[in-house]
Amino acid sequence: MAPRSLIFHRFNSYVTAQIRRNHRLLSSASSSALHEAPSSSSSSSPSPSTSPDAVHLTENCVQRMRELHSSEASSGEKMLRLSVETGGCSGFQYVFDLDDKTNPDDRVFEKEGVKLIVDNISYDFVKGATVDYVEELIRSAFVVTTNPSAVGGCSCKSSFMVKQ
Amino acid sequence: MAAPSSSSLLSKAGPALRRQVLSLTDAAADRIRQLLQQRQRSFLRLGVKARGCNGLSYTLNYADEKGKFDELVEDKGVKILIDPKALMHVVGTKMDFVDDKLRSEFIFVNPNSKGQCGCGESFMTTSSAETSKRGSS
Repeated sequence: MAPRSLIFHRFNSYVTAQIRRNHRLLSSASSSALHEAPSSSSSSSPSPSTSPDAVHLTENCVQRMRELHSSEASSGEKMLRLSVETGGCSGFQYVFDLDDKTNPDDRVFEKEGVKLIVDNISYDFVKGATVDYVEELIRSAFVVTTNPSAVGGCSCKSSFMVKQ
Repeated sequence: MAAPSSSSLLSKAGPALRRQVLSLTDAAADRIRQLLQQRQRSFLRLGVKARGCNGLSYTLNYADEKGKFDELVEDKGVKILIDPKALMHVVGTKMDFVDDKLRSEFIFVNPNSKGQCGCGESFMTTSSAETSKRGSS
Protein backbone atom coordinates (compact mmCIF):
# COMPACT_ATOMS: atom_id res chain seq x y z
CA MET A 1 0.00 0.00 0.00
CA ALA A 2 2.93 2.31 0.77
CA PRO A 3 4.12 2.76 -2.85
CA ARG A 4 0.58 3.65 -3.97
CA SER A 5 0.20 6.39 -1.36
CA LEU A 6 3.66 7.71 -2.21
CA ILE A 7 2.75 7.96 -5.87
CA PHE A 8 -0.50 9.67 -4.92
CA HIS A 9 1.33 12.23 -2.76
CA ARG A 10 3.81 12.99 -5.53
CA PHE A 11 1.02 13.32 -8.07
CA ASN A 12 -0.93 15.52 -5.67
CA SER A 13 1.98 17.90 -5.06
CA TYR A 14 2.69 18.04 -8.82
CA VAL A 15 -0.93 18.95 -9.53
CA THR A 16 -1.08 21.61 -6.80
CA ALA A 17 2.20 23.09 -8.06
CA GLN A 18 0.71 23.24 -11.56
CA ILE A 19 -2.45 24.88 -10.24
CA ARG A 20 -0.40 27.49 -8.36
CA ARG A 21 1.66 28.15 -11.48
CA ASN A 22 -1.46 28.64 -13.56
CA HIS A 23 -2.97 30.98 -10.97
CA ARG A 24 0.20 33.06 -11.13
CA LEU A 25 0.04 33.07 -14.93
CA LEU A 26 -3.54 34.26 -14.92
CA SER A 27 -3.00 36.94 -12.25
CA SER A 28 0.17 38.22 -13.90
CA ALA A 29 -1.72 38.44 -17.19
CA SER A 30 -4.45 40.46 -15.48
CA SER A 31 -1.99 42.85 -13.80
CA SER A 32 -0.14 43.46 -17.08
CA ALA A 33 -3.49 44.05 -18.78
CA LEU A 34 -4.32 46.68 -16.16
CA HIS A 35 -1.04 48.47 -16.90
CA GLU A 36 -1.62 48.35 -20.65
CA ALA A 37 -5.26 49.49 -20.53
CA PRO A 38 -4.68 53.26 -20.63
CA SER A 39 -2.50 53.04 -23.75
CA SER A 40 -4.64 50.56 -25.74
CA SER A 41 -8.00 51.50 -27.19
CA SER A 42 -10.86 50.82 -24.86
CA SER A 43 -13.49 50.36 -27.51
CA SER A 44 -15.19 47.02 -27.87
CA SER A 45 -15.94 47.36 -31.57
CA PRO A 46 -15.82 44.11 -33.52
CA SER A 47 -12.27 43.06 -34.49
CA PRO A 48 -11.65 41.95 -38.07
CA SER A 49 -12.21 38.21 -38.12
CA THR A 50 -9.71 37.60 -40.87
CA SER A 51 -6.61 38.31 -38.78
CA PRO A 52 -4.74 35.18 -37.66
CA ASP A 53 -5.08 36.10 -34.00
CA ALA A 54 -8.86 36.41 -34.16
CA VAL A 55 -11.08 33.83 -32.60
CA HIS A 56 -13.07 32.09 -35.33
CA LEU A 57 -16.58 30.68 -35.33
CA THR A 58 -17.70 27.72 -37.41
CA GLU A 59 -20.90 27.58 -39.44
CA ASN A 60 -22.40 25.17 -36.93
CA CYS A 61 -21.66 27.59 -34.12
CA VAL A 62 -23.30 30.46 -36.00
CA GLN A 63 -26.30 28.28 -36.83
CA ARG A 64 -26.78 27.30 -33.19
CA MET A 65 -26.54 30.93 -32.02
CA ARG A 66 -29.16 31.90 -34.60
CA GLU A 67 -31.45 29.18 -33.24
CA LEU A 68 -30.96 30.54 -29.73
CA HIS A 69 -31.73 34.08 -30.92
CA SER A 70 -34.96 33.01 -32.57
CA SER A 71 -36.15 31.01 -29.56
CA GLU A 72 -35.22 33.80 -27.15
CA ALA A 73 -38.23 35.93 -26.26
CA SER A 74 -36.30 38.66 -24.44
CA SER A 75 -35.19 41.79 -26.22
CA GLY A 76 -31.54 41.61 -25.11
CA GLU A 77 -29.48 40.05 -27.86
CA LYS A 78 -27.46 37.25 -26.36
CA MET A 79 -23.82 36.93 -27.32
CA LEU A 80 -21.58 33.97 -26.69
CA ARG A 81 -18.92 34.67 -24.10
CA LEU A 82 -15.80 32.55 -23.95
CA SER A 83 -13.55 32.77 -20.92
CA VAL A 84 -10.63 30.83 -19.58
CA GLU A 85 -10.42 29.72 -15.97
CA THR A 86 -7.94 27.67 -14.02
CA GLY A 87 -8.99 24.13 -13.45
CA GLY A 88 -9.51 20.89 -15.26
CA CYS A 89 -6.93 18.17 -15.53
CA SER A 90 -4.50 20.08 -17.72
CA GLY A 91 -4.44 23.48 -16.04
CA PHE A 92 -6.96 25.69 -17.76
CA GLN A 93 -10.47 25.20 -18.97
CA TYR A 94 -12.86 26.97 -21.27
CA VAL A 95 -16.11 28.35 -19.93
CA PHE A 96 -18.97 29.33 -22.22
CA ASP A 97 -21.72 31.69 -21.24
CA LEU A 98 -24.48 33.76 -22.77
CA ASP A 99 -24.19 37.48 -22.14
CA ASP A 100 -25.95 40.54 -23.41
CA LYS A 101 -23.44 43.19 -22.37
CA THR A 102 -19.80 43.78 -23.10
CA ASN A 103 -17.18 45.35 -20.88
CA PRO A 104 -14.75 48.01 -22.11
CA ASP A 105 -11.83 45.58 -22.19
CA ASP A 106 -13.67 42.81 -24.09
CA ARG A 107 -12.87 41.77 -27.62
CA VAL A 108 -15.79 41.05 -29.86
CA PHE A 109 -15.62 38.74 -32.88
CA GLU A 110 -18.49 38.66 -35.29
CA LYS A 111 -19.60 36.31 -38.01
CA GLU A 112 -22.86 36.63 -39.95
CA GLY A 113 -24.43 38.68 -37.21
CA VAL A 114 -23.41 36.38 -34.39
CA LYS A 115 -21.05 37.81 -31.78
CA LEU A 116 -18.44 36.12 -29.65
CA ILE A 117 -17.01 38.01 -26.67
CA VAL A 118 -13.66 37.27 -25.09
CA ASP A 119 -12.36 39.25 -22.12
CA ASN A 120 -8.89 40.71 -22.37
CA ILE A 121 -7.26 38.27 -20.00
CA SER A 122 -8.75 35.16 -21.59
CA TYR A 123 -7.94 36.41 -25.07
CA ASP A 124 -4.22 35.76 -24.60
CA PHE A 125 -5.01 32.09 -24.11
CA VAL A 126 -7.34 31.68 -27.08
CA LYS A 127 -5.70 33.72 -29.85
CA GLY A 128 -6.37 32.08 -33.17
CA ALA A 129 -8.69 29.45 -31.76
CA THR A 130 -11.92 28.20 -33.32
CA VAL A 131 -15.25 27.82 -31.56
CA ASP A 132 -17.54 25.07 -32.82
CA TYR A 133 -20.86 23.57 -31.79
CA VAL A 134 -20.55 19.79 -31.77
CA GLU A 135 -23.59 17.53 -31.76
CA GLU A 136 -23.22 13.95 -30.65
CA LEU A 137 -25.61 11.42 -29.20
CA ILE A 138 -24.17 11.78 -25.72
CA ARG A 139 -23.89 15.58 -25.76
CA SER A 140 -24.28 18.74 -27.82
CA ALA A 141 -22.15 21.65 -26.70
CA PHE A 142 -19.94 24.54 -27.70
CA VAL A 143 -16.30 23.48 -27.87
CA VAL A 144 -13.03 25.15 -28.66
CA THR A 145 -11.30 23.21 -31.42
CA THR A 146 -7.76 23.98 -32.54
CA ASN A 147 -6.30 26.47 -30.12
CA PRO A 148 -2.81 27.50 -31.30
CA SER A 149 -2.07 28.95 -27.89
CA ALA A 150 -2.62 25.64 -26.16
CA VAL A 151 -0.44 22.60 -26.08
CA GLY A 152 -1.44 19.17 -24.94
CA GLY A 153 -4.57 19.08 -22.93
CA CYS A 154 -7.34 16.85 -21.83
CA SER A 155 -8.74 14.74 -24.64
CA CYS A 156 -12.26 15.77 -23.73
CA LYS A 157 -11.09 19.16 -25.03
CA SER A 158 -12.38 21.27 -22.19
CA SER A 159 -9.07 21.59 -20.38
CA PHE A 160 -5.70 22.56 -21.79
CA MET A 161 -2.18 23.75 -20.98
CA VAL A 162 -0.54 26.87 -22.36
CA LYS A 163 2.67 27.19 -24.32
CA GLN A 164 5.28 29.05 -22.29
CA MET B 1 -37.16 -30.58 2.53
CA ALA B 2 -35.20 -29.12 -0.27
CA ALA B 3 -34.45 -25.45 0.10
CA PRO B 4 -35.97 -23.20 -2.54
CA SER B 5 -33.93 -23.85 -5.66
CA SER B 6 -31.27 -21.27 -6.35
CA SER B 7 -32.59 -20.73 -9.85
CA SER B 8 -36.00 -19.63 -8.57
CA LEU B 9 -34.28 -17.33 -6.08
CA LEU B 10 -32.16 -15.87 -8.85
CA SER B 11 -35.12 -15.41 -11.14
CA LYS B 12 -36.86 -13.45 -8.39
CA ALA B 13 -33.70 -11.47 -7.59
CA GLY B 14 -32.82 -11.05 -11.25
CA PRO B 15 -35.17 -8.19 -12.17
CA ALA B 16 -34.36 -6.36 -8.93
CA LEU B 17 -30.62 -6.67 -9.57
CA ARG B 18 -31.09 -5.47 -13.13
CA ARG B 19 -32.97 -2.43 -11.92
CA GLN B 20 -30.08 -1.54 -9.67
CA VAL B 21 -27.43 -1.68 -12.36
CA LEU B 22 -28.53 1.52 -14.04
CA SER B 23 -31.34 3.88 -13.21
CA LEU B 24 -32.74 6.70 -15.32
CA THR B 25 -34.25 10.00 -14.36
CA ASP B 26 -37.50 11.02 -16.06
CA ALA B 27 -35.60 13.55 -18.15
CA ALA B 28 -33.16 10.92 -19.38
CA ALA B 29 -35.90 8.42 -20.14
CA ASP B 30 -37.91 11.01 -22.07
CA ARG B 31 -34.90 12.03 -24.09
CA ILE B 32 -33.95 8.42 -24.88
CA ARG B 33 -37.51 7.62 -25.90
CA GLN B 34 -37.53 10.65 -28.19
CA LEU B 35 -34.18 9.73 -29.76
CA LEU B 36 -35.12 6.08 -30.34
CA GLN B 37 -38.42 7.03 -31.88
CA GLN B 38 -36.90 9.70 -34.08
CA ARG B 39 -34.24 7.37 -35.45
CA GLN B 40 -36.39 4.25 -35.35
CA ARG B 41 -33.77 2.28 -33.43
CA SER B 42 -34.39 -0.32 -30.76
CA PHE B 43 -31.83 0.34 -28.04
CA LEU B 44 -29.13 2.62 -26.81
CA ARG B 45 -25.91 0.88 -25.85
CA LEU B 46 -23.87 2.31 -22.98
CA GLY B 47 -20.18 1.53 -22.83
CA VAL B 48 -16.95 2.88 -21.45
CA LYS B 49 -13.66 3.47 -23.13
CA ALA B 50 -10.25 4.26 -21.77
CA ARG B 51 -9.43 7.86 -22.58
CA GLY B 52 -9.51 11.28 -21.11
CA CYS B 53 -7.34 12.45 -18.31
CA ASN B 54 -8.64 10.31 -15.55
CA GLY B 55 -9.25 6.80 -16.80
CA LEU B 56 -12.56 6.13 -18.47
CA SER B 57 -15.28 7.94 -20.31
CA TYR B 58 -18.79 6.92 -21.27
CA THR B 59 -19.84 6.05 -24.79
CA LEU B 60 -23.37 5.97 -26.09
CA ASN B 61 -24.46 4.49 -29.41
CA TYR B 62 -27.60 3.30 -31.13
CA ALA B 63 -28.09 -0.45 -31.29
CA ASP B 64 -30.64 -2.67 -32.97
CA GLU B 65 -29.86 -6.01 -31.46
CA LYS B 66 -28.83 -7.22 -28.09
CA GLY B 67 -25.35 -8.73 -28.11
CA LYS B 68 -24.96 -12.10 -26.46
CA PHE B 69 -23.35 -10.70 -23.32
CA ASP B 70 -25.00 -7.30 -23.20
CA GLU B 71 -26.95 -6.51 -20.07
CA LEU B 72 -30.45 -5.28 -20.84
CA VAL B 73 -31.83 -2.64 -18.53
CA GLU B 74 -35.41 -1.55 -18.81
CA ASP B 75 -36.48 1.49 -16.83
CA LYS B 76 -39.43 3.84 -17.33
CA GLY B 77 -40.38 2.09 -20.53
CA VAL B 78 -37.00 2.56 -22.18
CA LYS B 79 -34.42 -0.11 -23.05
CA ILE B 80 -30.70 0.33 -22.59
CA LEU B 81 -28.02 -2.23 -23.33
CA ILE B 82 -24.87 -2.19 -21.26
CA ASP B 83 -21.65 -3.38 -22.81
CA PRO B 84 -20.26 -6.30 -20.74
CA LYS B 85 -16.89 -4.56 -20.39
CA ALA B 86 -18.63 -1.53 -18.91
CA LEU B 87 -20.92 -3.36 -16.54
CA MET B 88 -18.73 -3.46 -13.47
CA HIS B 89 -17.83 0.21 -13.88
CA VAL B 90 -21.38 1.51 -14.16
CA VAL B 91 -23.22 -0.57 -11.58
CA GLY B 92 -25.41 1.73 -9.53
CA THR B 93 -25.10 4.66 -11.92
CA LYS B 94 -27.90 7.13 -12.33
CA MET B 95 -28.28 8.55 -15.81
CA ASP B 96 -29.68 12.05 -16.14
CA PHE B 97 -30.21 14.47 -19.01
CA VAL B 98 -29.59 18.20 -18.72
CA ASP B 99 -30.74 20.60 -21.36
CA ASP B 100 -29.90 24.27 -21.26
CA LYS B 101 -29.12 26.84 -23.90
CA LEU B 102 -25.41 26.22 -23.95
CA ARG B 103 -25.42 22.44 -23.96
CA SER B 104 -27.58 19.40 -23.72
CA GLU B 105 -26.01 16.21 -22.50
CA PHE B 106 -26.46 12.95 -20.68
CA ILE B 107 -24.74 12.96 -17.33
CA PHE B 108 -23.87 9.96 -15.25
CA VAL B 109 -23.84 9.99 -11.48
CA ASN B 110 -21.65 7.03 -10.71
CA PRO B 111 -21.14 5.99 -7.06
CA ASN B 112 -18.08 3.94 -8.08
CA SER B 113 -16.33 6.97 -9.48
CA LYS B 114 -13.26 7.82 -7.44
CA GLY B 115 -12.40 11.02 -9.19
CA GLN B 116 -13.36 13.06 -12.16
CA CYS B 117 -11.76 15.16 -14.78
CA GLY B 118 -12.53 18.84 -14.37
CA CYS B 119 -14.83 18.69 -17.34
CA GLY B 120 -16.58 15.72 -15.76
CA GLU B 121 -16.16 13.52 -18.77
CA SER B 122 -13.44 11.20 -17.53
CA PHE B 123 -13.73 9.19 -14.39
CA MET B 124 -11.87 6.46 -12.57
CA THR B 125 -13.22 3.57 -10.56
CA THR B 126 -11.34 1.30 -8.21
CA SER B 127 -11.66 -1.55 -10.72
CA SER B 128 -10.29 0.55 -13.55
CA ALA B 129 -7.41 1.74 -11.39
CA GLU B 130 -6.53 -1.85 -10.56
CA THR B 131 -6.79 -2.89 -14.17
CA SER B 132 -4.41 -0.15 -15.25
CA LYS B 133 -1.97 -1.11 -12.51
CA ARG B 134 -2.03 -4.73 -13.60
CA GLY B 135 -1.63 -3.70 -17.20
CA SER B 136 1.46 -1.62 -16.50
CA SER B 137 3.19 -4.13 -14.19
